[in-house]
Amino acid sequence: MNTGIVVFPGTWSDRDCAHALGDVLGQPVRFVDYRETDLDGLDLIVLPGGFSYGDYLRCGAIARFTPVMGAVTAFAERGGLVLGICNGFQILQEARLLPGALLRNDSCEFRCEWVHLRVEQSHSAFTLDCRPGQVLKIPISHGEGNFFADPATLDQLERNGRVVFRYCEPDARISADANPNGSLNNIAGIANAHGNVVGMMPHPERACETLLGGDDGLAIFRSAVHALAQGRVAAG
Amino acid sequence: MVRAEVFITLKPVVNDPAGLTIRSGLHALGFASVSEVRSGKYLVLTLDEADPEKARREVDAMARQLLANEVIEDYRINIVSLPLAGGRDSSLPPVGRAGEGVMTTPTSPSPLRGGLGRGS
Repeated sequence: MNTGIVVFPGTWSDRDCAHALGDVLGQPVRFVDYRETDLDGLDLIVLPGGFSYGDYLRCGAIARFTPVMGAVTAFAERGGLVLGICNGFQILQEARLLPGALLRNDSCEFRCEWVHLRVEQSHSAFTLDCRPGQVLKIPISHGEGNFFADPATLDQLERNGRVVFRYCEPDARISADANPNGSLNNIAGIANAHGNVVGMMPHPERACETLLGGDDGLAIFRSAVHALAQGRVAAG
Repeated sequence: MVRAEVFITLKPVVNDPAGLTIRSGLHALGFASVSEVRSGKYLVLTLDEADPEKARREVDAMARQLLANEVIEDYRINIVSLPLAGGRDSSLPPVGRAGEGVMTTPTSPSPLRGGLGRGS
């Protein structure tokens, strides 16, 4: 699986993503500059976390108009795999590749901690290796992760099985206490209609080695490898 | 020259934790009459454009494309025509000077007077 990791001015998780995919999973990885428009030969595009353009105006609002995002949009429309993590999720929403928006955390605090996620569906390209109801322990690190969508959009996401991850208790119960940021319906990650584009606030790349506290994040990257191998998604 | 003020606010249905925090700060200071605070952004754009209506259409396009996110935000635009003059005209409203009514000038009725609006 050839992975392109997009680097915007202000991106900070690009090297962690390269370490997880390249060093831990042994997949070929290259960094993609935000000015690039040629994604040929890539199977997966990762939009990593960080503070692209200083989060000015809105998180992801400026990054969305960079040259690479035009190419990423075309890549996603062809069925290529796209994973937006944290700021990458915010960029995907600004680019309208995923619905809704991520508001300031209801606590008004930056939250950096391990959370539990309940996998809600196993038909997205990034949850093929998971089973619905499985609990993953993965850290979050954000100030604007409070998922919002208007009632009609939220209803559509829920009814079409496009909610991929929800913040939960260690025993998979969904509770207000397990919600770190006020997200509607405890939503931590969603997919597009085809399941090839997923955005999530937690950082799976920071949960790929037991030495660092856990390796539950590997399931998400391995799912992408298997989705490609099964030909469930078109290559870029 | 035209100056465009863009007021961006969260839609009424969107929770505003920053506004709630500011409100509780005001309550803590004894301003008990404050029932609601909504926070937002205020942008001032200066355009090389003589026609105020053309400027408004242009700023409206900017707001739709970039300045506001229609999923969560409303915006309102106030256009102020600037007199043609060499150098800074003393009739311009002061920008950002603490303690002054920045937006109250003879040519520009206070945009805040009508409360935080729901788009232009």
